[in-house]
Amino acid sequence: MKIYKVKVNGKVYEVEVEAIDEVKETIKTETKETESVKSEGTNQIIAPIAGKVLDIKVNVGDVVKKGQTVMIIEAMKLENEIQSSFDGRVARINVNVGSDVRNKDVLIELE
Amino acid sequence: MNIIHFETIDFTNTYLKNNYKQLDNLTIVSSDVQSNGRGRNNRKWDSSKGNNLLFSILIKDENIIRKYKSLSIISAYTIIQILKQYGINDVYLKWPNDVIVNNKKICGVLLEAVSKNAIECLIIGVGLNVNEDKFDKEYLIEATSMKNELNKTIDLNELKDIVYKKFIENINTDYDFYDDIKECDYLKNKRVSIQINNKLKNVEVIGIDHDYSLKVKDKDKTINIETGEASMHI
Repeated sequence: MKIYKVKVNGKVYEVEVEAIDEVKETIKTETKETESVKSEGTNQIIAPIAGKVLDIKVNVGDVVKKGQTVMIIEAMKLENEIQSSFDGRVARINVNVGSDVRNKDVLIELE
Repeated sequence: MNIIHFETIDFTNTYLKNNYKQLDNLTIVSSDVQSNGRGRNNRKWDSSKGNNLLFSILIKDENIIRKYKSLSIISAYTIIQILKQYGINDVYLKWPNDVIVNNKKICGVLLEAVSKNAIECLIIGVGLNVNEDKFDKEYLIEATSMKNELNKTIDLNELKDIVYKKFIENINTDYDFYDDIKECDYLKNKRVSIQINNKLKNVEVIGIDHDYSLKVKDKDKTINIETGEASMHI
């Protein structure tokens, strides 16, 4: 097992890599369903940039109006106020304060 | 330049956030007094005494919005350029975007965006201590002003004109400010406390990297910090 340092989008990760025999073995991959998978019948509020969740302005069950600020994400010294593009009720919040988010992650789902 | 001036307002950034759809790109909002100014992480920016330069610039041009990663630090550097023009030379940039003179804070920048599924506008908010000469001791970082550093009162109207023009110029240029910014890196080679993976760590600062993240050394690892703030150990 070798450990490599890999830099992705400015962040450094330590990655363990195991050499395998191509004939004898296959790598088993575990797919985790991330919280950004779309739920049926919901409108999604997505992250416009990668960053960290600074504040969540709504709770599950709240009624949200189009244009209402629902979350603040911080990235590269920018505080990004995320507004809803839809009217709706908050069905699901997929992040917590302090969560790291990627560009296009689904943050909140409205029904 | 489209400039909207208030004698008093809650917060110039908030005005632009509430009205950005009707306003032109590069509209500037300024105020003599702010009743509810703030810096990053919701910290209060005290500017109740009418002696300082408080303004926000609205950016709606997609070509400039694309540069959002660098705009905050370039804004701080723009203030550094102007302070040097006024004869204040012991001036540095404390990552991410504080301007420090004689180890005291003279200017803060708050970059905000309004987004739906993409960034619709950016707002650069700037608070520069100009003719303030007394500061509350309650703040963690000691503050200073141009008047304190130069021992003279500054003509605020003349300063505004210079600052606004320089900001518009620097926002619109494709010039790479990195080498200039590196020269005034306050935290370089200092030890700081910073959050890494939700843990507070004491690390050595290598310096501001080319993507304007902060490169630090945590034992034998080199890490680039993009969010948060570095508190300096003395």
